[in-house]
Amino acid sequence: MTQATNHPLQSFGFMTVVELPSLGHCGGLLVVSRIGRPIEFHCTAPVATNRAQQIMYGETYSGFLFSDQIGMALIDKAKNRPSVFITDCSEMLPLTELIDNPLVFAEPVDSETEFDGSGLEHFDLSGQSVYCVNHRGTEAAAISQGVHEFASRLPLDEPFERIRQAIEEAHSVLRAA
Amino acid sequence: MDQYFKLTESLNHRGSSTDKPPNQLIRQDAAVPKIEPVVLDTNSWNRAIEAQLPDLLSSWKAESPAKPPVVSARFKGRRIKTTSYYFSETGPAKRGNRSAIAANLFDPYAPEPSAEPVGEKSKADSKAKRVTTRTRMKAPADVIKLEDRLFYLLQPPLENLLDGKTMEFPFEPFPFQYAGIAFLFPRNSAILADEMGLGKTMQTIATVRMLLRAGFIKSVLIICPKPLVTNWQREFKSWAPEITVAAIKGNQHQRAWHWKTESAMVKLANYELLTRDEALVTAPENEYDLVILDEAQRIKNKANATSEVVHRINRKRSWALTGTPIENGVEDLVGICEFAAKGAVSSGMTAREMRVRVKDLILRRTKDLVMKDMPPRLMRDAELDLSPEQQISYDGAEKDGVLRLNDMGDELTIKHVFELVLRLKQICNFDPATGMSSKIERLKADMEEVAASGQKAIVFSQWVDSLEVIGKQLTVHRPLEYHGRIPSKQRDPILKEFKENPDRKVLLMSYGAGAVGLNLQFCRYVFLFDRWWNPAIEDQAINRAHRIGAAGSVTITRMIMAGTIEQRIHQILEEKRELFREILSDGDAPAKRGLSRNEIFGLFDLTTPKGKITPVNEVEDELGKAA
Repeated sequence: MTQATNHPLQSFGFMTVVELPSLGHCGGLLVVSRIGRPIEFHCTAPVATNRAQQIMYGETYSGFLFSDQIGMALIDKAKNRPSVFITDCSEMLPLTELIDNPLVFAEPVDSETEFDGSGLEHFDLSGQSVYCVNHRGTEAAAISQGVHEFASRLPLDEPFERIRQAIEEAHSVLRAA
Repeated sequence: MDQYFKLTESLNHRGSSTDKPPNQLIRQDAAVPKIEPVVLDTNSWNRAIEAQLPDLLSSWKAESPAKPPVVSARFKGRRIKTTSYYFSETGPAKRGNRSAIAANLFDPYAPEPSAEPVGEKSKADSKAKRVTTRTRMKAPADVIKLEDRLFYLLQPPLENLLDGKTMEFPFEPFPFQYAGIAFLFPRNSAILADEMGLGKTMQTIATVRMLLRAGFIKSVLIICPKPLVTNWQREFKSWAPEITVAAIKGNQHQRAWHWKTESAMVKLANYELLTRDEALVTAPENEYDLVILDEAQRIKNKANATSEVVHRINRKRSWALTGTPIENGVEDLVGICEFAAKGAVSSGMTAREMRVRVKDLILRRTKDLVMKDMPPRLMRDAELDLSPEQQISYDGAEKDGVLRLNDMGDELTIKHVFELVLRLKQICNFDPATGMSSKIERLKADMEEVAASGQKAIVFSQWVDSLEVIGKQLTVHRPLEYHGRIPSKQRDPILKEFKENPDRKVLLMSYGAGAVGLNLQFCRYVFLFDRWWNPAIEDQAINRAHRIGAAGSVTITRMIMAGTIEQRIHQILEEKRELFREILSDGDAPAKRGLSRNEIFGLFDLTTPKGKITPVNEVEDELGKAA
């Protein structure tokens, strides 16, 4: 890594996909400031798995569903484009081809599958591996610095926890309505 | 209906009545035999994949002169519905309702401020640190709007919001205290019913501070027993130094000024003056964003004058704080709910119904549950024999008393029985003729041990007269007295003296004056010289010493004279203690916690007369007055 810059990232877009039993996949994007306060939140309606799509897309299906469809639907809604997107969902990494912002993959500590991050710049954050999937003009060092500063206040998995709880809450309210 | 695939419109439609069919197949080669178009929703598309398409393709023969049919599907993702929420700094707070110190508690772009000022206490633990526990605010059930619910849920954990940069505290709250703050913050109606000593005051102040800083509220009225007013002021100074607090006191004109023009964000009033200032406190122009009742069991009887005034105070939020939401029966809870959440529960509800209705309203934690590392509370019952002099007086009083009661026939009421109880209890303390007392002998011996080990003790009695006699017997330990005959202004200096002067080994307290709100956790010994009628009051007394910050185990000695009325009452008190747990847990039919009529008459083996019976609560009040 090169020396850190003096321009910390101003906002972070945490993005993940949750599977809701019998409903499908639901995406959530939480844009937070660098002190962890929420700025925007977006979640999708549940997207049911489609057999036809599965056949047509084969192994690339989850990438298509999580990135092209769910991920982009969320990002299109964001009024404040975050300085960097962070996801804990490897199926969202194809987003890197679709967006102009840096994308970071925070590998879940309890992940059962090992992520092949060869060729990607990465750093360790309290035992969690974090990969810079792309920089998009931002120095990797700046991304690393910004993420480290953020993680000094909040563990990197915490905003994802918020997203999951909010999605659950949103759907329980909608179900009750 | 799922419509993941949008296919082109080059084929004719079949069976669709819509102008824009959701899915279509493209046939690129018009020369091939015409194939019936397929209009697909997801299911039909799936069926096509499984049935029609293979048929279609298999119908073409390799030797056919025509080009093979090509069926194309262009996959353009459908528009996925999203729900969006954009945060404002104020969240559900109304604009224009901002307190003077409203700042940027929820402002996402707030600069990292330097630490807020705090009192003189240690700031050692107040530095921002990595969050280890995550306490989230969650909207109560009565918050309906999804955006309001998400506002709370999507905030960072309280440990982060209060990380010492936004608001500094004298020391780091315990996880269960964060949970208490998270419970109170979003609620308009709440009863914080933690066991004594878990920091209800601190949790409340921290939440009030957050609400003021967030701009959710700007005026607060706290009502507490008179002796606790200074305690609240002291705690505000520690936990929320930037918040202005004014105690309402003085003569009628001074109080009127306070009620009308005092600009402090928090006003403190005691229960006693509410009825006197009824017109002022309930005036329409006096509306509070939040009214907090400390020791809210004071309004358990919803018909008493104080309760009626409290119910009429104009307010938006109502919180009740009490360690004993149920002292005598479920009616107590009905009385408190009448203030905190009018209509939530009502008389005649079963325990099960009541539990369901108050589930989202009450938060109660006990030390056993939340303070695993709390020093132990060691209870020991000192069963003593009456001295010979006491025994003679006792036997005579009991015999005469019972005879008198029996002679009263139909005119006998419970009140008469209680008068005898009080008389006998007094003899258990001291022989009225000689002043002899087994209890005082035991206390003197125990105090020698306490003092020798460098510790201090609190002695509780129901009677100030008894305390004064005890004081004369314990002069070597330089006792201090704290009871109803000590003027309020002198009470705080007495506590300070007791805490700071190592020669002051014992504090003599009445249950009435010293049972609530005081922090005496530096004491390792508590003596209950006589027993109060209600175990909840005894627990409050014990918890003056056994609370957060206790230096070590706390030993409680309950003095009981064997073979006397004290032993009989002790038995009943233990049963009541069990009932308390039953009512607040899963029992279906909680029993009454007050003594039943038969229990009261059973104390003396009397037959129940037909005359008017005074309700137990009233009798208990009578006992309190007698003390």
